[in-house]
Amino acid sequence: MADYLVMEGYAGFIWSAWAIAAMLMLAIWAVSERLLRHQAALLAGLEAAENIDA
Amino acid sequence: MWRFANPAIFFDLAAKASPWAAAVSLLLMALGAYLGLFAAPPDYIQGETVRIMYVHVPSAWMAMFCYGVMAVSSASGLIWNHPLAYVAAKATAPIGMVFTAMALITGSIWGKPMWGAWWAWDARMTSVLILLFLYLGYMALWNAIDEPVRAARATAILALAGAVNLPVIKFSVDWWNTLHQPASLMRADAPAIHATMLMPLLLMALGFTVFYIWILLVRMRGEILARRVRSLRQARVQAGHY
Repeated sequence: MADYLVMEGYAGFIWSAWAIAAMLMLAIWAVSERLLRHQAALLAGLEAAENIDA
Repeated sequence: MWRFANPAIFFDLAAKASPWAAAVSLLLMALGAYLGLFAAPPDYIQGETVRIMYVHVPSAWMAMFCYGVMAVSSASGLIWNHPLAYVAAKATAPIGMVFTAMALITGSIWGKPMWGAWWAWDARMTSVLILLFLYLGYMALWNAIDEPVRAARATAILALAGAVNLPVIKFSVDWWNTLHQPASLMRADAPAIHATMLMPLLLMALGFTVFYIWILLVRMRGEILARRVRSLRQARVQAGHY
């Protein structure tokens, strides 16, 4: 395990590259899901208003 | 086949396919990460830093692939005027932008220990930076034009014009003397990479591709709903409800 914290002295570069990549992927997933939920909530509100008007 | 191009049918199909795409992409990436970080050997020149390759190279491939999808979808939109083609192009842009940023950042982190510099104005890096600006410009143009049909056409033309950058990125390492190494995998002869390194690289590339499909489906569903919201609002305005 200690080897993976050193990696010939490059562990900081290697782990930070992987961590940044993972964070960016997590961020695009979170933003996309939030956008979908936001639009679904907006549509539900509008459809409810349509039903009341009808 | 064409019935799946109906936005309502596509929406239901995408909702069913998303969890499967999520599971497959996470599985492939977990396996690729395990092999890349723990099982693959260090490189004989670059040592342990080669483990950055397993995120850097697939993200660079995806950066170009996403732009290719965006350009083809844009062309389909202009030719056949199908709304889903524009939806796919618009939904792809932020994902491609993220992959491009990933390629640039991980490349920079890899460059520091190997080249002694975080950045160099080398042909490969500069052309990928231009790709990032193309994605940002494309998204800015979508947001700058209120009328969706005009926005779709203007952005499609921008996407097609920007596609000229893709061969420049691919062949930059052959056309110019660059600090960046030439292709190791996509070459005319056999790949110049050992199977123990090739396997995690391909698994990560496949995992990233399925991840793209997963996020694309989520974003396309969001965009289809946004269009329904827009048309309902317009209908209510015309009916005098606002």
